[in-house]
Amino acid sequence: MVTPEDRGGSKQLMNTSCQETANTPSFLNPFAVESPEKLTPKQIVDLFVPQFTQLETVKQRRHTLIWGTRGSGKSMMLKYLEPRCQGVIHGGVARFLDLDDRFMGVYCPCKEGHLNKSEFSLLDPYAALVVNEHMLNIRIADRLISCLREQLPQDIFIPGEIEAFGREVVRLFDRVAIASSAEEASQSIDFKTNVLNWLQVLFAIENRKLSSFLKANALQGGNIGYEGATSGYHDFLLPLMRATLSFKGLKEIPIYLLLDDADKLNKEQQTIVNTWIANRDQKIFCLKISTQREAYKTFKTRDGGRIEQPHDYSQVDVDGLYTQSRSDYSQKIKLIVEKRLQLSAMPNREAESFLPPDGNEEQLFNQVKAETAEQWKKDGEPGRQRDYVYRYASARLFQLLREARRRKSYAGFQNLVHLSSGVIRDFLEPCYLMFDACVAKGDEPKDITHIPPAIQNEIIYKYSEDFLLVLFEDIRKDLPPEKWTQVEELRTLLESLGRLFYNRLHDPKSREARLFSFTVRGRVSAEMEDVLNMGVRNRYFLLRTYSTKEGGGREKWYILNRRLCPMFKLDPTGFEGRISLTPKLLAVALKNPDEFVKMRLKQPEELPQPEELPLFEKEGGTGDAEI
Amino acid sequence: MTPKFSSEEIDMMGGIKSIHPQSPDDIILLCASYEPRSLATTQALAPSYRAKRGLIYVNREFLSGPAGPMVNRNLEILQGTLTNKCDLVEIIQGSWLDPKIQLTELRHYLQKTGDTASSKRRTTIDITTFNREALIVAVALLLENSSPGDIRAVYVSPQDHGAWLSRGFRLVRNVMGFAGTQQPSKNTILAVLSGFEPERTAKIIEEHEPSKVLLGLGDPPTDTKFLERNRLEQHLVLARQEVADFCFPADSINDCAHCLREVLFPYIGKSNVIIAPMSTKLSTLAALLVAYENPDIQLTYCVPGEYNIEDYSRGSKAFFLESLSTYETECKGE
Repeated sequence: MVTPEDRGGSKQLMNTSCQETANTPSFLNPFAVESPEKLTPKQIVDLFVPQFTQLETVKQRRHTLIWGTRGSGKSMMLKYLEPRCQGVIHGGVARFLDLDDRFMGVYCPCKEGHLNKSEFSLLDPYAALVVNEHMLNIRIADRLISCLREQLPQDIFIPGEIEAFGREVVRLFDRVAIASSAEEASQSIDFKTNVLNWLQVLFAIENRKLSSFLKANALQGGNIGYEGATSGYHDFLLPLMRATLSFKGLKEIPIYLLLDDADKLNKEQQTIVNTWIANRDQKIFCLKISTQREAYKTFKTRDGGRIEQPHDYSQVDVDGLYTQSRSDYSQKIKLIVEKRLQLSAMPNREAESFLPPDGNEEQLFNQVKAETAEQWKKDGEPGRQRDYVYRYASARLFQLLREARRRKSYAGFQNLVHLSSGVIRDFLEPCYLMFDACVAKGDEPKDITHIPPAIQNEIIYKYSEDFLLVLFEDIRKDLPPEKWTQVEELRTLLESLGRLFYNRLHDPKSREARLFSFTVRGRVSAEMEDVLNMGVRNRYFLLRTYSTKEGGGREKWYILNRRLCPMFKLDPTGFEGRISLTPKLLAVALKNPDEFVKMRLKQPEELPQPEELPLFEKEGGTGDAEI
Repeated sequence: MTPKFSSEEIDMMGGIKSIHPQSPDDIILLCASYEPRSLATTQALAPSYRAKRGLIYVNREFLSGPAGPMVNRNLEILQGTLTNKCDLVEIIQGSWLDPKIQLTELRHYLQKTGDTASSKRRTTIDITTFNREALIVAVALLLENSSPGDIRAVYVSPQDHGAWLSRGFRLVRNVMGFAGTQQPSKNTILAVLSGFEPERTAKIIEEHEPSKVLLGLGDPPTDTKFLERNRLEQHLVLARQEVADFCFPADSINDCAHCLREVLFPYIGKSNVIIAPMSTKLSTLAALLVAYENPDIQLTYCVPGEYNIEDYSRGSKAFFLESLSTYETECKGE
């Protein structure tokens, strides 16, 4: 884990007054992860890798929900769609606006405490909806105006157009309700000479009125009159978008509202957004909503309906690439790494040689592969030689290393890609620490040509250990004490599975040594389901589904996060088949790893079904039996 | 600096008297918690002390479970003591988990209505063992109906704190009534008055994702040995690049408020300002005063997973007595 200490180093506290003292930034590390909001448009364009992101789906003229864990690159993708970034890509915003597939991305972040205010719970449901919707509307309106003001070339507006637009926007509000805010805005800004700025001031005043109302309602209690305007979808948001489209220079450009971190909206606000989606006004504007899956609390609309995919929206799963196509994921990481090495002007800009594997172990592995190929002949040439070698050589390597009491090396670009299990942040963070370790050792950052395997191993073992130990503590901290038993059970389950898979991998007689996933046959209790879900939520398991042999539906398939491999001495490069657990055995796994391993090893090995193993892509490559 | 007294000095003074020696306080507001310090203020009241109403706040979740025996015992003792000193004693059953219950219950008892609405109201509040969120709400409700100078806070510092104060976190939320105003075109500044709970500090920073963090360290602290612990505990937070640090007087409401005004002055109006009070109760009230004067400021709170009920604090060391003072009254005083 990259701790703040690792990033900036510790610092003596010298400040003894009410004056603030700033910290100083450290050297540039090519693997540093910065918040997209702190990056310039050029930096965003430079760092963002559009390949394998399903960006084309996001760019379609449809409402889209973008699911992804924290740090998966959702915000980066949305910021990349803003006009100022598209301008960098296409040689100017004006040129981008001339393209056939042009769009105007309006970035609207939902930050903690900005919209999800505690005071909403004090309002009756109807008032809460009205106030919530107005708050959302004026925030979006502010971002839209800001985009028009700051991101578009001002010469696209015909004289008089902006003033007409401003008057139209004011007309969207009830005249009496908006009068005092309009008057106040006019006291600080002249409408005629600075229409867009004036509108933003108007929205700021309305925003303040909402806050004052919420405060007074909380502290004075009931019977507090709201003195601002209100606005809805059909009477404000939609006409506002139409009014924007009336700018001739925009040539009826589609407007994309890029709602980032919608998990930070309260349930009523999410209901309002769902209602907007259900209206399907994509011809006028589209919502591109990024959120963490488990924190999007509802798909209901205001009238009790539900939004459904694909009728109402498309969806993109930012985390799903690894399980869908591991070779694409590897390609994507390679592009990211090489872009970063290039931007940091590193002497070596090639991912594989910057992160080399352990040479001795590579040599040993090549020997093992040759021996396994010979063994294939002795065994009567069952199946294809390549598949045989792929299945048994890697396991044999682990067995030999154990016999020789040598630690397995997880160094090397491909190993690190696998260990990141589909989360780019889990690739970049250990690399950040590896680079940092080289610098701490005395290497000049600009002269680093590669990260020695020993340093890679040191960091990656620690990174794996943190996942099992430190992050578990973090999960505990995020939960109330009544949930802590489940946290302990999840930890025990991982221990049980880790030990079982280790035993299989290191048993020379094992025919399916590289198991790495499991299914549960039969109904599990609600408590067990909670533990499994907690494992998925915190990415200890990747959840897939598979067709049951009996037909008639799909069942859940839990794949261990490969970041755990170094801790349990497992093979991160692939797995074959899956073990099936009964609810009874799962219950043992949640309580007692020794007993679980003993019981499970007594059961016969399950060979993978042919339909489950369609992919043996290439040697040492992506042999997952994932459907 | 807040007047600070040892138990012996309080005894020599004849105990804590009413705000106006000739007339009873209108309200004395206490909190019954699992800490032995809950009782320290009532034990230090002068024999002559009188109040018209005695209000005891208790978080309903603590009336049962592991904290139950201690809280019920302390509640009973407080009730007994106040019965002899007040015309009326009432219990406010709030909640540390549900902010709506917390606010509405406090509001029910602290709001002035009818013929008392226009009269001057004097309140003594023992701020020692309130959870910070309830404390802010309670004093904000008092401020709605009283002038700051008529609210006297009593704080009892401990001999020592336990190895940990709270563990885990449930969620981050704004304190009711202090959502502030956030303008989307402005960046966000988070000022943290840090204490001994670095994980909660880190959680608040993570949730708000501010452009800049101003990390405050309590110096002077209520006790010199607390400063070193404060520094050590916040060490990791300080190592972040986007963090600047400052010191605030943790031992005085009004001095701390003065300091906060100074630190935040460059940002008010230019940035969205959020304050996370996580240090002493005295500095928590300072944050309240500054946010009360500047309605755009948000007060944020990280609800912990659990409190160290067994060993939150040990003993009572010093008494701090201070009447509130807003910026306006501070200026008038000058």
